[in-house]
Amino acid sequence: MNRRLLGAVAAVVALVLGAGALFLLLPEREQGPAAATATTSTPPAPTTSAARPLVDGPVGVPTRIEIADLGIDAPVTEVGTTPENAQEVPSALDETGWWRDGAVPGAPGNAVIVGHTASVDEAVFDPLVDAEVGDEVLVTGSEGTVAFTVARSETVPVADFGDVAADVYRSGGASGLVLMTCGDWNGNSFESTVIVHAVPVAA
Amino acid sequence: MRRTLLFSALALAAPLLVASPASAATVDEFTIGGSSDDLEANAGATLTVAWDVTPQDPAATVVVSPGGSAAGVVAGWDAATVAAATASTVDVTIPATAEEGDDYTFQLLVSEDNVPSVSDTITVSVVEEPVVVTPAPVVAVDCVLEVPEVTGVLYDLVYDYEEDGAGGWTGETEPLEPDSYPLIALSDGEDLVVAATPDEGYAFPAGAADVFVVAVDEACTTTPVFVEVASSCQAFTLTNVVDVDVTAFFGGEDDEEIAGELVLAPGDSAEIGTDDEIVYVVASADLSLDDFENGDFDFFDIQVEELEVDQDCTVAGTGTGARPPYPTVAPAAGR
Repeated sequence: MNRRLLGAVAAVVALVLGAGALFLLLPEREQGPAAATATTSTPPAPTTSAARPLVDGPVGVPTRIEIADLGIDAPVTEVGTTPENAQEVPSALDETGWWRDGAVPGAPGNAVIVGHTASVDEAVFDPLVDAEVGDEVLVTGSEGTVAFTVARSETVPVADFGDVAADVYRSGGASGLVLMTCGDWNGNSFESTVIVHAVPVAA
Repeated sequence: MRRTLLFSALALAAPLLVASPASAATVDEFTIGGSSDDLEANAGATLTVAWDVTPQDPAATVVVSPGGSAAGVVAGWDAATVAAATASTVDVTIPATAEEGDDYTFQLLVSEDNVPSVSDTITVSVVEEPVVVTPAPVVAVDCVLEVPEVTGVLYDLVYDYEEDGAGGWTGETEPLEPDSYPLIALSDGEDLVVAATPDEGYAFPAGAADVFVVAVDEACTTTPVFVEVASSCQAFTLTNVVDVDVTAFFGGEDDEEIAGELVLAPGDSAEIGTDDEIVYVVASADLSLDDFENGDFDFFDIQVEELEVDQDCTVAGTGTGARPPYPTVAPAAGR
């Protein structure tokens, strides 16, 4: 099927099946990865903790995450839990999602933020797999910015995620930050979850 | 005394007041194109103006002349032609240079022994002449509907249709741009009805076919089945029913891009939770996301399903105790 025909079919499939069917036939992914690419390819200048005052404690609902070492600077949105009991992820590839039923960054327990890795195009947490111990992570919320430093990372098979879920979503104890994305693309699907644990840097 | 004089004066004047109108001719008829109403005409159109004047005194001299803005402007509506009209009709021609929206008023001025009277006014408004165009038929060739491009012809797909009993069809319509459309994208097996309508400024000749019924062969709407799809409470299940790996893409009705994809080995099933009430699934034996999004596939090699998912229900518990208060399934953070 050529693209001219596809374009026509897209319109008609939407006509026949409903507007939602358009997603099936969007060859350009105009509002998805393309937009993400445009954003992530020109990130603002990376920021370090030395450039701004930091708070030592909860920063409220997070709105932005920055990892200068990885070139990540992205908005944070609130996400919930899917019916199959997975943390939701933002629909946009250039956004991250904070699990709103967990801790806010800087508060006791883990604040958990997920972001996409893309098998094609670019996504916000593509570089997360390269996180190294000591990398600084800044999370900004309504109450200020809190700094974390990467303490460890792990790659867990998707099927085994339940084994580490309690650790990831720890609701009490020391403040922590957990960043997650998909890993181990096998050509058809992602086989693992990349989990990065960070701990607060004293303000 | 003064009142008496007043009445006397009125008595003397009364015959004069009555006498003046009595000497004016009556315009019994004034028509253009057979009608006394305002009308529309194309530039260059020739119209017949007719009138019938009855003098009060058959022996009186009656003179007719053209009036209105058309006088001296519209060919034939001039003093010489009208005055010489022996049959009380003249043919007039709207200027060829007239444009859409131009108005010409026509009025007949009558004089009987120098006592004037006038007809009603008729306005001729110039409109653009519609271009007559014949809609080309819409046909299907090799399971592809060919909608031709014909200037002035608009095609609409009629769906949820039924015959109206008078040779026509009723139903909902959607514009169908000139192009080629696989029948499978338009029909679930029913014949297609395509209606043609003239665009603005165009007209179809009388009797021209403007509804095209396109027979849809079953083979043109048959697609392969790779997965069985079942809907459940806030979820749906895909089961591979063929003996090769199947790739499936899915998304909700409001999604602008694919919400997820998975690969199912033969016999495998996957339950996918969703908060969408309408979900679309595309399954194929060897279709990558790239190929799919680039349109590099054949419609007859993929399975497209639409299903409704109940979102008003409550997900049943697992029976193994309360669910942990945190996610236990890996986030779908890959695209």
